[in-house]
Amino acid sequence: MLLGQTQLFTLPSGTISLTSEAASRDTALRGSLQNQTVEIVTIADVRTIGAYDTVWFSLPGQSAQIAAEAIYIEDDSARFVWGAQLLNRVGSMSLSYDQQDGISGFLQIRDTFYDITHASGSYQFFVQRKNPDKPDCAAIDTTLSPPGPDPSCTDPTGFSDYNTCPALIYALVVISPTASDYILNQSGAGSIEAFIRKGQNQINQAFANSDIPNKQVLVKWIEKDYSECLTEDIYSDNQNIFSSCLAADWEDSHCDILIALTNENYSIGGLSSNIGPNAGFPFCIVEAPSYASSSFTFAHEVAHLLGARHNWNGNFGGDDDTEVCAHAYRSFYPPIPVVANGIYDVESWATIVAKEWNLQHNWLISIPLSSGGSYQVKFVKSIRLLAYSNPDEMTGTSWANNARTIRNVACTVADFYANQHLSVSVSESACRLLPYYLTANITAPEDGIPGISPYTVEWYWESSLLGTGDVLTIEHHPNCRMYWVKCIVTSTDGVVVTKLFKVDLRRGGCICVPPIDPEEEDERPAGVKDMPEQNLSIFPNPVSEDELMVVAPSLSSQNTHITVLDAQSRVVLLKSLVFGANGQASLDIKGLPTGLYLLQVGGNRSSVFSSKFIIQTR
Amino acid sequence: MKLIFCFLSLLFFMGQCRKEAPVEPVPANPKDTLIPVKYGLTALKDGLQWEASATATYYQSGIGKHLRLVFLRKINNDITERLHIEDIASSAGTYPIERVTKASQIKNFIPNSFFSIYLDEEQPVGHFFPDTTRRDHFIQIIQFDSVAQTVRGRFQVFMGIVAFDPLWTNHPDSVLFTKGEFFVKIQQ
Repeated sequence: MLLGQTQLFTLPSGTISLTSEAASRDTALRGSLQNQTVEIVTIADVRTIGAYDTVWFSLPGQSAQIAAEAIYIEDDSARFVWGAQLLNRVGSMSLSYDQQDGISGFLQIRDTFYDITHASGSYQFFVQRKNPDKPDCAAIDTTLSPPGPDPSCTDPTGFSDYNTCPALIYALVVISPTASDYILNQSGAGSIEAFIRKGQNQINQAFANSDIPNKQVLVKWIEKDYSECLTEDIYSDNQNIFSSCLAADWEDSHCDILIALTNENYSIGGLSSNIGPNAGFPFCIVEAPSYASSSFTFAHEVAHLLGARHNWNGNFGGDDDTEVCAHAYRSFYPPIPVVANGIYDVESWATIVAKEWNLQHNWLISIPLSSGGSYQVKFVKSIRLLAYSNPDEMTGTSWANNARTIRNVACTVADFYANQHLSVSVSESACRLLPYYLTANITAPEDGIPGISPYTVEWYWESSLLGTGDVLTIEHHPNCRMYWVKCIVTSTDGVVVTKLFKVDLRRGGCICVPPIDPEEEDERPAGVKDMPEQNLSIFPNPVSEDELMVVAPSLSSQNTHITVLDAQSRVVLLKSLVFGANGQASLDIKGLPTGLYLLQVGGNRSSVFSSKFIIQTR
Repeated sequence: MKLIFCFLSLLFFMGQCRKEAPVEPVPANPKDTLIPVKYGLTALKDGLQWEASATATYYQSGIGKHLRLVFLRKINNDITERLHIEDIASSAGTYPIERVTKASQIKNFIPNSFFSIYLDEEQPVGHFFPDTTRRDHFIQIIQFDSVAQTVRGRFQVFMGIVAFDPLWTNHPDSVLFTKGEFFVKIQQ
């Protein structure tokens, strides 16, 4: 269902009446160096907007329309949580309606992070946070960062900065009788199915929140009594359950990872067997009461199996100082004002895999001041954000990057049992070369597993149907640096697999277009806006000689580098080119075979020109 | 920095043990009499002194109460070495130590063991199980005091690595515990 425009955030008119406590909070927020803007808004009730519905809204004081699709709904007697992925921006949002704490949440659009917290009455604070990785925050004296990454820290061979490989990870959750009893009689979930789906949705929402595209966890569950392997100690049971009691179930399920869901009153809420990927031991224990609680224990332990690690030692109680490059992140908002030797109560927030913070410890953390001296803080609240650390977002820094690890490791884990279910991946043709093609690569399931052919394939941008069939042809890119296309594959027997594919015009062999002012950014569907005019021409084209004339008046009398890419986006020529005073240069293309090529000319990201040319038979 | 130094020191020692192939410790004779008198544990790990806190607890099964011994050594505030010997019968005697591979071995009163290293108590670094090619693992319960609820004994066990953090590149392939002597109060 597509909803019309919703006035999600309304700036109240007239005088706003705040309680004295809220007024003090307002003063503190506006005085904080960590905040870009502070608004007081009223938020519409989204509780009637169901899963997979789309809602359009604009930010306070802005007109640009943002579309969000609700992909996570949590509803119990005390709290309603609504989570959505943005469709025409890279980002996500979540709103929580709590009987006690009112409305709160967050909105993340690329590296811009908005906090939503309850003010008073029907009002909320809508606060744009400064990103701690951005240079203009460098002067802040909070020194939230740890000493920095270990110089010896190296990623495993083959790690990619942005791995979009498709991963459909099947997780088998084996529910013990005591866990089943908890779910049905104490959790309030109503059914095991609803309870289990909650944890699954939390992980997938966290993937969306963390820019981990094309990865999805699907949970299958069974009930089984494996008490013969339980000995009242989570460390012992962690060693025994997998190999001694559930190995056969795991084999039969054809799942990639195995989770024992227990209710044993262990000392901790969950325990992973490994930092993945480990095909021989992909197992963890999760206690049912912690499973999908605000601790996100299921998402935490599964992330360990996908290679994620705790926070850095210097990062407030994390302890991971063993030559690892992936870390969770914990931080806090500093008090305002702050004086040397002061002691302050603050709220701490952390990403999913950060070490749990025990508030009862009442630990004091010393924070140095840039002006000299230091102050101390005590965490009076520890909040987990439904996100994996990611340096491109508020929830990480350059050294805290569990999102990268998951992007890389998830595909290996998904192949522990490869292709046994209906799976879909999306591949693209050479970037930016038009027409541009997206192809749905469908792998049929094994015999006996739902998801049989033939399939229908639909392609969407926002809510617009772009086309049907295995191959989507795009004649024009929208005028933006990246956009998302959704591919929905439906089998004859009703199994639906959805893949989001990011068309990123900035990466790997693609042409960089000039940066766009985010306020002006327009990500309308294909064909709505023309490509920017490029001050570059080539002749002759097609060319049958060994020389190509390149004309770029704006580069007259300049020495700049050029890149030639073939139809598969491979760089086939890379050299410097000297333009004459008339803006012309001669390019030697001897040796290049016949075919279609792309010429990129330019010295920096903001002034890259491109043009296609064809080499004919010489 | 202190933590990094400590952990690097640990890895250094482990790496040394693996690379330089230390002399195999001479298996102890269970018939030797040796009675530890202080609460706690002392042992040699790869020939080096290894002192750890010790706890003893029971867990129940349909055939009786099984004793679990857990020896913890904190390398620093964050890294913990954890040696478990469990499924021990409540009577004096000398028992072999086996590696659990099937459910029927978990509560059969034939002791089993594992050794694990964790960060933050729940981020695994490595797991070691008894080397099944050897037959000289044992735990000797010298004395059960049912009134004072204490247990005294000795053990030795030879472990091989079975799983480890992929970034722990210089992990040892084996860990050898010898001359283990413990005296523990049993928690009810």
